[in-house]
Amino acid sequence: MTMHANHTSNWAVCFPAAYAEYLGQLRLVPGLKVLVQDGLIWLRGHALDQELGLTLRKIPDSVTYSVHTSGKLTRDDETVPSAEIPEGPWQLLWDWHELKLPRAGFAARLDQPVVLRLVRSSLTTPINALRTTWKIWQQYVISAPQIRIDRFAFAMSERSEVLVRGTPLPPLPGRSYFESNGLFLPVGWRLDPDVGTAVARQVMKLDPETLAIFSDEGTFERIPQSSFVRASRAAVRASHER
Amino acid sequence: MTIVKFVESLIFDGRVRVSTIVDAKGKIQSPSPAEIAETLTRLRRYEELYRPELLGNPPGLLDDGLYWGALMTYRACSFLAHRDVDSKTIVDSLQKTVPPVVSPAVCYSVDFTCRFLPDLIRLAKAVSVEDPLVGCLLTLARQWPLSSVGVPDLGGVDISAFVRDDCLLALYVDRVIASGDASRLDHPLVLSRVRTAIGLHSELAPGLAQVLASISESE
Amino acid sequence: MNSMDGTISAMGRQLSDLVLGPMKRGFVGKDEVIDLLGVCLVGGENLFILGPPGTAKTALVQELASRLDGRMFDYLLTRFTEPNELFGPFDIRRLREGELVTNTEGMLPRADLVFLDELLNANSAILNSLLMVLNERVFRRGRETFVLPTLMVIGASNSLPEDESLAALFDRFLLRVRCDNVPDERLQEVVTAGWSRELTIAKPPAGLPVDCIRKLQNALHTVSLDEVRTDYVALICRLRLAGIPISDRRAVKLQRMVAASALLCGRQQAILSDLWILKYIWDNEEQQELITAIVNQSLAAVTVDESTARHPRSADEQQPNPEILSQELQRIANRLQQEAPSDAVRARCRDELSLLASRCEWVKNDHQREFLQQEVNKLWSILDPTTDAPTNPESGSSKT
Repeated sequence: MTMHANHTSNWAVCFPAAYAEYLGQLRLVPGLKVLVQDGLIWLRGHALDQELGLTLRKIPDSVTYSVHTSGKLTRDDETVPSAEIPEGPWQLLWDWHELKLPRAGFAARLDQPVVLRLVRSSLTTPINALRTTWKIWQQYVISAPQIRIDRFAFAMSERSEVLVRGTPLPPLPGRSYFESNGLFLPVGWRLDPDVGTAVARQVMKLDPETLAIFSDEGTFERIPQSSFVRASRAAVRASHER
Repeated sequence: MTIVKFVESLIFDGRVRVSTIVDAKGKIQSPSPAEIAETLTRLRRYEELYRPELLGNPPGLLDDGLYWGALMTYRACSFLAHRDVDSKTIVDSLQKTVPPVVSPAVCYSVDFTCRFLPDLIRLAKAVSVEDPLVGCLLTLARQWPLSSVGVPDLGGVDISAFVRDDCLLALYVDRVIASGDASRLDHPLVLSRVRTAIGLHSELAPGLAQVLASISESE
Repeated sequence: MNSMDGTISAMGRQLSDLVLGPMKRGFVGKDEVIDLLGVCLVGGENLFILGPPGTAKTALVQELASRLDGRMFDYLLTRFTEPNELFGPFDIRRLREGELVTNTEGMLPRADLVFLDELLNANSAILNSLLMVLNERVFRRGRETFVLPTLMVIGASNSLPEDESLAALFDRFLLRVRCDNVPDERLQEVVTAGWSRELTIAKPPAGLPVDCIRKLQNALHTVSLDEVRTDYVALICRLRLAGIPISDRRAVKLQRMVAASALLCGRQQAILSDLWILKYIWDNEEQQELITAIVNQSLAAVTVDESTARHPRSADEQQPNPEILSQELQRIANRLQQEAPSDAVRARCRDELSLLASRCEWVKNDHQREFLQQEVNKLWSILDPTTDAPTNPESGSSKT
């Protein structure tokens, strides 16, 4: 696997629309395309020679990206893409005579009485649960060493998914969770407002025997405590036969 | 308690009561053919419940090995509880009838009851280290390395009889990790499997992980 | 607790409250470096700072020296730096009398804190003397031997060592920390704080005299490590298993850092969270995320009761760095691409991938996160070609 193989020499530059005057000196460069969106001007092109590079860098607050074939954008000094090229419609800068900025609209807002929601968080938490597919889990358990399996309890859903609890988590693809007070929060998210899981349980009206697992969309699903069984090769084989 | 009841309690409760198996003249009593048949029937039934807990497919059961393992365990438990048996009788009854051909199937069949050997040796040593029973059990432990993981001071053991059987090797490795028996890491295949099982998580077996960390990977 | 113990704990707290605390308020975004300066100072060990020029490294050390009312020696090493420039010239008058005596006034041998910028420029002429300073805190020249008052040596560089002689030098720095430019969104604060520092002509007030630091260093062995020793050994083993080389010598020495973390919190008992210092033992950038993930996992067992007494750095979870995560995923990919990796190697790759995959979830930028997740999935499919990675399993729907 080569992880950054899909780099091309395509580039894109993005800067605030307030600096539109800088486009003037670029008008005669062949093949440049332009797009105005959300108060930003985007420019893209194929070959970036030194002279053009210098001209682009002179535009205030501009960010230069290389464009992957997938449309992902990587900043010059980085290797992990951090943006995506807007879809367009792109116009040839050559043809683009008059600069018209679209009026900024207000984002639609639903007036819903939202009590608790999930928001992205970069504060790390412990990881103690994993959701994966039944097939992956079953293959793992019947071939994993006993010492690993002993640590886990699992619950199966009707959609052939499994929620596994216990650490260290099985090294399997899937979504990892942080479980606290019977609430499973997807890793990378936190409750907002951050009232703590004990209070959140009350808000969610969960009885003591019920656990809840959140999705990234902020919805949750109830799981009876009793649906967890101790993991063992026999238990997994038996579930499979059912 | 007859051997039939004995195996049932051993497998299900892990607690057994044993009566003496030596008659008034000091001779070992042998189970009747009917008892043997019943013991085998039960052992096979219990093994069906045990089998799904193993990794992969264990080898087929062999009556000889299955019965012999149960008989040795039965006798050893009896000698442990009834201390009035002379050492010659103990040695004769535990050491003279070892199954001749050792294959994965024999190892597995014997192991079904002999897997309790480490506990038995611990109990016997607690009574008296000098006891001839301890010596006999240690000999059994060397002969049946699959069943004796965790027994200290055995020295090197030969696991060639079953090491090529995937299921038994996995069972063996599970036991090495559970007991933390570093003396069993001398076989390269076992070493590699233990390393694989522990992976990054030395907390799963701290003692073994320390040993592994001191052995370079190429070894 | 006898009264001496009480004094020691109080001094540890004082160092945190009167020296490190005010420094953190003065330097924006440098808490991590300051905390590491703190533990290395108390532990009497050397700190390596990796980072580009202009990231306030020198200013930090100067401020620390000033707040300790200590003597500082700082020097920018070049490939041509001579021993005289660090240790002092020979005394001319005595030389005339036929004696070789070094005039150390104002030089490294007299300093409490030593800061060597561009450390890896050290050439063979000074390397041996430097190694002695770093290891044994002595300086030998001819028949002279100086026992140095050095509390701590801080080395800085913009890169990591590539050749072996410099690796030996780097090895003498027990802990390593990055000092980068602060993110753009905090630049305003940096500029403001920097301006007000410039305005303050007076040196910052001394918070704790250097003598107290010496007392703290001498009291290090009075800290009880009993409670954490098992966890400490287990964590070292885990890191070694993960391929992080930690020599026995380093494992022994790192205990001083654990003790130092406890003293800085005013404790004479080390607790589990003091093991945070192990996050800073990396040899190269690729190891950083993995070590952090492994150490954090061990610290996850820290109980709530303990959290009140814990060192702030142990609770301050570092945000994952997408570039480093990407490098680590690439490293796993490389290992799996080697010819027929053994089962043990594959198992370790699985465990590492599992840890890193979760860390990717904390990357803030959606594009970066998605990219990394794709790389993670590619690696899962290399590990298990027959299994498709679950595609974002859908959950049920009872709206909150």
